[in-house]
Amino acid sequence: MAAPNVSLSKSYHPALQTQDYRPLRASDETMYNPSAAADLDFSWLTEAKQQLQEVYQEVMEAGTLDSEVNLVPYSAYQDAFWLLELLDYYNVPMPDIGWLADGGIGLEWRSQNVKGIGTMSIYGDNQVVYGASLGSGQKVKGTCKLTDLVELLRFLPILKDVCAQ
Amino acid sequence: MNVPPDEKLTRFISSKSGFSIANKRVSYRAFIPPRKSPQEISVYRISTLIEDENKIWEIGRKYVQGENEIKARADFLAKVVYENNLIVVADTQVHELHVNIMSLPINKEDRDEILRELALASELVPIPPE
Repeated sequence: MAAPNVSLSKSYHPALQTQDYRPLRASDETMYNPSAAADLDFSWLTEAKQQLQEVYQEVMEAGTLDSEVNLVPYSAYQDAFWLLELLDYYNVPMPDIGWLADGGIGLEWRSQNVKGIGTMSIYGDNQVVYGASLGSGQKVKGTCKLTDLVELLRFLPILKDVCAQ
Repeated sequence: MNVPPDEKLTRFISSKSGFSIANKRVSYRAFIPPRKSPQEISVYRISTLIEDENKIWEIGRKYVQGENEIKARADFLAKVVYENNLIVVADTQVHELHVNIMSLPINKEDRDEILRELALASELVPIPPE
């Protein structure tokens, strides 16, 4: 017997046949309309900016107390913020942010279950010194310009791997 | 002077950026040397003091702490230093147990690789309240 020739209406929604009706959730909106994701607050950038400000305060206090502390140049904060925006945009988990005794900003990611670590060091010279050591023993390292997205985007999945381990 | 691989060394930390209390971890940032001595990491031998923690903190307060107070320390075995092709050199002018880890690469990419290994190998010991 031939299948009946049934035309589906344009409002046909297969999910409604197998699931109970439920109100639209934010995740649904994101799935059907990716541009809507920009309206949802999954970003950690605000928190990171606050941490960066706390780092600035700590460096200033440390520098006031100890003349041997190397102050972090303003350009390093600018570069760090630019990099944090990039990391947030590409859904890399938020790093632990701190200052470096030789005058830089250091970002760090750690694995939860294995001995894994990823770092990025920024000195305000438009360069990023990056590297990671994964639980498997695999290691990567490099230095690139802050604007070298090709090289940076090669490293970001490794940072995600570090955090996922 | 030879420091055996199983001897415990410690790096005193006076910056909040050097560790995370919440995650109980030492950061690679704790080992970054200042610009005036970019190839040395100043540490202390503590294996002989392990029975009395107070003596270890006393060294930190007396010989390391400047205006910025010591907040924690990173304990690790000398083995990790040797595994990264560095050496431990006595520098007893300040204190008889003071040593320097040498010679860190000048290149920051290579230096950070070693500092990551030191951080992974370290145990965080926060300073106890006085």
